Amino acid sequence: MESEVFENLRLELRRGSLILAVLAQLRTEQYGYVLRKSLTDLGLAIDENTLYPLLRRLETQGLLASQWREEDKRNKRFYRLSTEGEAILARLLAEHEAMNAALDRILQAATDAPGPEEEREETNAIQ
Amino acid sequence: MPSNDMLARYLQAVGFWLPPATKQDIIAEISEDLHSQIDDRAASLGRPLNDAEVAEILKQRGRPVVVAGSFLPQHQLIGPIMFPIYIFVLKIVALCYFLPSFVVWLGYVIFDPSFGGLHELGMFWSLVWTAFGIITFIFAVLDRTSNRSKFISEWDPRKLPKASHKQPSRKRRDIGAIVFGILYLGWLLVVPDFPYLVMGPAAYFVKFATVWHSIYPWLIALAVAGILEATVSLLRGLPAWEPPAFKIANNCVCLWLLNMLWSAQTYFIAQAPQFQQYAVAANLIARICIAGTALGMLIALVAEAWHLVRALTEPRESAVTRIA
Repeated sequence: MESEVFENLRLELRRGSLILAVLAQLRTEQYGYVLRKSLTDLGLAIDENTLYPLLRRLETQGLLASQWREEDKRNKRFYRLSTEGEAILARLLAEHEAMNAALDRILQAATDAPGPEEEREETNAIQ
Repeated sequence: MPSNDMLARYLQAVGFWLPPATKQDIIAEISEDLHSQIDDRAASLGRPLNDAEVAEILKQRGRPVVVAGSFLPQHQLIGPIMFPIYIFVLKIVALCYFLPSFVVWLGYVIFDPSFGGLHELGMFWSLVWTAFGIITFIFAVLDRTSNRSKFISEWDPRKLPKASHKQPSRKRRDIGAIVFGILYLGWLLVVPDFPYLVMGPAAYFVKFATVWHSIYPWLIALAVAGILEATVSLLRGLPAWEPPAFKIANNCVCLWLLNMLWSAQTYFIAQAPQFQQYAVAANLIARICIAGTALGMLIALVAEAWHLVRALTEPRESAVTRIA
């Protein structure tokens, strides 16, 4: 039960980050298989059944442009960030940085705050 | 090439579930990705992959219908904005229309032997499904046509209904137990004069056997005890362990009564010799009901025992808080 809850939350947490990673990685043109490998090599493994539908969705939204081209005697679909995608990515990255900074401050504040044990000790010392 | 054949079969199976407009494009991309994977693996092994290894790659990719499904838009009949309203409307219709209709139907079945109960029940059932279908259809249409952003943003907090101060759930439960307990007791008291209330039209053919004479006072006592317990709980409050303890005692008495009934074997006797076959059938049905009820009581007994253990082992403060 606990692991199921964790898994759902983990997927939720990953969802936004994956989009950001895919958009950022496609600043240089790549086809699906190479993109997935490069993301895995950089520490962000992504399932094929998540990546390819995501690429199509981003393309439908106008953030990516694609082109079928022959390479190594096989037809491959190459994706790259569109002009609109670049603008959106810049805004998303700014948002991501702001969120990360806020989260860092929240976590730091939580670490600095005295725990229940310390509070009790302080109260006893005053008395 | 058996491996190529397997791949072609896999792609065909995925394609079966895809819409014609995008099918070829998606299949080509999946095919390319699988070929790249196979080539990569073959390069690392230094030899072509065998069937088992290709099958492993395909299995890892997923069942064709699941793979195809990931490319399709997520459909829902009624979206999350409309869904709570849809459920609310269904509940209102069930409570204000179907429940009263069902009670009326039940009344006819019990008091009017000429009433075609089964036929009417079939009609009623069709009506339920039709209403469910119509309401679902209306909400599905509303969900697609309504202006969602307007619905979300245009509302006034000042127009919300006044906050109601609900009674604690324990009190509501007690009031419910008293009301239904009194109704049950009233019903129980008139049953000897109106056996129709239990047997329906069958009362014309059969009557209660003598075993019920010894069971009946216990049933009255249990009903009175239930009303008293709920009344005391409502007026003075009872510790958290009391309701499960009361139910355990209640269930034990019921099981003892069921055991008495089971041993008796005859629960109904024919009103006249020519109705003997009805009495046999009624006794058989009653025996099955007794066995089923006893089983249910045993399960409930275990559940209540668990509640009792939890109530006794819970911290005292939380138990007191719950009563308050």
